[in-house]
Amino acid sequence: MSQSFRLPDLGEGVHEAEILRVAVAVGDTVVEGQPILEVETDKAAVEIPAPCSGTVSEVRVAVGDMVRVGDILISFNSPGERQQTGLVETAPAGAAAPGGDTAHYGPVPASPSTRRLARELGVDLRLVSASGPGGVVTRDDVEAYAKGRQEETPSATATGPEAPPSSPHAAPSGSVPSAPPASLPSPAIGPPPGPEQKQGLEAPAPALPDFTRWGPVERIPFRSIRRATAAQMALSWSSIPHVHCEDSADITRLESFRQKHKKDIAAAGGRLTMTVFAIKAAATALKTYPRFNASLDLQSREIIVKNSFHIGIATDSDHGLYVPVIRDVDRKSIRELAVELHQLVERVRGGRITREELQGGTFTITNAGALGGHRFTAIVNYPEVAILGLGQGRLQPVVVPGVDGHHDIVPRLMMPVVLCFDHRVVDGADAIRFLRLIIAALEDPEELFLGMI
Amino acid sequence: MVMGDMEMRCQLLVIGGGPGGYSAARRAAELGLDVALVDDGPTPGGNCLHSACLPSRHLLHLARLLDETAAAERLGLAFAPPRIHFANIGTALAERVADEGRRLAAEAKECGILLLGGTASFTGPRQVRLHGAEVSLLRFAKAIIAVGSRPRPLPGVAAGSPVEDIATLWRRESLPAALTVVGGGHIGIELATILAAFGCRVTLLEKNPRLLARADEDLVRPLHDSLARRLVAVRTGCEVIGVAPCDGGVAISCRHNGKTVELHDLMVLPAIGRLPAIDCLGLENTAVAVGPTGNLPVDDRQRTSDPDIFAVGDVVGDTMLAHAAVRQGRVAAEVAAGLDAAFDVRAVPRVILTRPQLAWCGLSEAEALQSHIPHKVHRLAAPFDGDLNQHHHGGFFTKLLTDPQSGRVLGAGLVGDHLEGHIGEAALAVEMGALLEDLRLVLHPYGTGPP
Ligand SMILES: Cc1cc2nc3c(=O)[nH]c(=O)nc-3n(C[C@H](O)[C@H](O)[C@H](O)COP(=O)(O)OP(=O)(O)OC[C@H]3O[C@@H](n4cnc5c(N)ncnc54)[C@H](O)[C@@H]3O)c2cc1C
Repeated sequence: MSQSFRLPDLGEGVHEAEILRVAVAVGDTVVEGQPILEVETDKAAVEIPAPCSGTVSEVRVAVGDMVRVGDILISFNSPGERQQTGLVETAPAGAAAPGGDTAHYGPVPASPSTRRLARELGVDLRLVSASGPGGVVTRDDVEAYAKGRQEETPSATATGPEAPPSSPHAAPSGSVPSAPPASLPSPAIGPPPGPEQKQGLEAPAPALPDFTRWGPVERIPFRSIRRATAAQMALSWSSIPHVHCEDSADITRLESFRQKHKKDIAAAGGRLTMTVFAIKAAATALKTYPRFNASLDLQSREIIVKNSFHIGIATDSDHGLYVPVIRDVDRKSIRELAVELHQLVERVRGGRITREELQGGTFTITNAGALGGHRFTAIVNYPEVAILGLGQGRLQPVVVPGVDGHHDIVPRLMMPVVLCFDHRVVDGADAIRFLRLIIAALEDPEELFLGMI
Repeated sequence: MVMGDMEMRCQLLVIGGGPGGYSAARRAAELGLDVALVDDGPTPGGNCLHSACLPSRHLLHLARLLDETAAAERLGLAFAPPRIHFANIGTALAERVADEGRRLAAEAKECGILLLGGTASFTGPRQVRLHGAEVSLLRFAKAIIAVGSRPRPLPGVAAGSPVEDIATLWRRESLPAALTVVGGGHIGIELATILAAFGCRVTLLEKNPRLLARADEDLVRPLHDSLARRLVAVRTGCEVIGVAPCDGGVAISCRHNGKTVELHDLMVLPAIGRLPAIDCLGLENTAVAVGPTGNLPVDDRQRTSDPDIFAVGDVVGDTMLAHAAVRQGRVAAEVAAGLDAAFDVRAVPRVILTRPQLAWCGLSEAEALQSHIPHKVHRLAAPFDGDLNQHHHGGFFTKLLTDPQSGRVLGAGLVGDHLEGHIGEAALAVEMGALLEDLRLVLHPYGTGPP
């Protein structure tokens, strides 16, 4: 009996994915749950497990293919037992949508007039929850969805019949802001984005000149993680008034502390890096200044202060920028954080990070030090309020008060720190206090780690 | 001004006046566009009116009359043997075609469509040259290509072979006593049915292992059996590779089971498929991309790769049906006029007017198996019967495909008679996302359908 595996509904308005890896070939025997494919969506790379045990009878995709939800990817011949239903074909178990509602195969059931209405309102039927029998989407469902969307994004483009007929995918773009950010702020190297970028990705940019007039060019598809990163950056840059606050921390003592404990932590399977200390220091500062652990809700005119402390760590990888999140950092020891961070980073680099691990951050840290980066600014990871950047610690001459009223110049290990924040939610004075608290913690490891290692 | 020297401009140019082009022109005129419709036939109506649908519908009707009057004798009602004057039939048919063509022309003028007789070919992305028309150059803002299709030529036909063309078959003075139809698709099968009813000894050859390769095998089987009784022979798996004249008739070489065989007959009628009629259209002067079979690929708004040039009907190379062409034409016109329309049809109904008739729409079982679409098959004795099984007819049945999870109807296939009503109902069920239960709970009148 043959089963076909289709690209499951990946949720959150994700319609298509790129095939990154095909782990099986025709004739292979697979066991249910064994990884068979790896795909990359706008939001993340996802590993797809085999929905059943059996033999692969057909592989319909190759690395680099773009596939849509519902497309058949792989077929299996599963051995022996016919299913009780006696059906020739059964839905693969893995195709159930994450939300638990029934996944759509092929076209969404809806009458022709409902489909026309959806088209005219720019509504993607796949996103509408159905109220009719057998999952049929009704006219009312479409209207309710369109209305809800309008309220959600009052600035969304016109939805009347005169809306551009072309792009069926442009419609759900209004829902992007509500999707938890997956991949994010990199050190913004180079000049800040120009005004045209401020309008986000959707704004029509003037046509480009023909660059080949001045030499050969290569065209690289702009999609998946790169496109998602771009959208997220444009959104953050265009909606958040950014302010940067810079300083440096004397980490001479912290570094010797780190050297001392490095081995123990490594033995426990972790890596003791400056980021680990910064997470701990940030936890303390966030508890003291909770407005940095918040989101601004313009619709309800409220600041949503979060009572848990989930810190995202900007992580560079071959597939692009990811921000895996460590949860409840305030309740974890340095050792635990060092182990967890190391594992997360390894998973990102190995392309094995899950979507859940990329969601729900309340604050972000980006450390450019390992790459040799010194001073830089960063973009707030929307819809968070602030991001902390760390540069490379370098030995620098520092003037310190010496004995008998003289001053001494001594070499100290100085690490640049930068706090970039949303000036709508917090003010410069708050930011300085917040940053000073972090610096103080980093400069005084005993105080910071009292009983924590 | 000298005729043929005139230049003109229009907002929308429609090339081809068949079901696709004609409906596009009408809809566009209704929406207030200034429309020119160019067609090289004597009146609008296209191949559909002049040589394809209407003539074959007309003759299928006569064929049915012949069959039914013959069958009436079994019920005690005897008619005198029919006197068939094919020339007279042709005259009546030609009148009906001309009437319909005149009606279409009048209606087009009434809507404000400028009708131009002639052949159009593109000389630039926004202009065509017209041959044989009172206007020689036409510039347009948008264009709809609806040039239809022409028969795929039979390979290896030697000069002087008695090969008849479907388009001219209707105009013959008489039918040959015997003839071989090449091609077991819906056109070949309907033609064979007509010719057999008119007393012609028909042989049907099909390259594929079975007739109507696009329909489900179980639907085709009863028809195959019935054709095998009515025709001289139905040979499947038999590919014609050459045709040559031979004393008073024709020699047909075929590959059959790996061997080459030669068959003899009086005439050959090819019906081996249709090709998009783009040969002299000058598409190389436009940005319109041509597909692998010479077809014009379009998106769901009927746009070709040049978004201001649309294609509809057979030239798109998809469904090759008049009713699909009509809808596509309307969609193209609406999109050209700036409306938000799309060809969004899930159940294209097909009816083959043979005995028994076949009809299907939506998902077919073969397609479901091939594409691994989850489905469940239900077999009913009569269309959508619930409570009462009406008369059981040998070989007649209805098949419904549903989604195993939701029970929604995904497709239907029917074998029977008078199927046009039933297939419409099935198409509605598929389009509405109806459940099998819905179809069954609808009350169907007793006492209709075949006796
Ligand atoms: C024997 C037969 C029976 C059929 N029966 C049925 C049926 O029962 N039901 C059904 O739905 N379908 C049927 N079909 C299919 C149906 O005929 C076609 O799908 C339909 O005609 C397609 O319509 P169209 O608008 O694309 O083009 P057509 O009807 O092919 O019309 C195209 C027109 O464009 C003209 N033209 C071409 N090139 C140019 C040019 N360069 N300049 C100007 N004019 C040009 C042609 O001369 C023609 O008049 C049948 C086909 C055949 C052959």
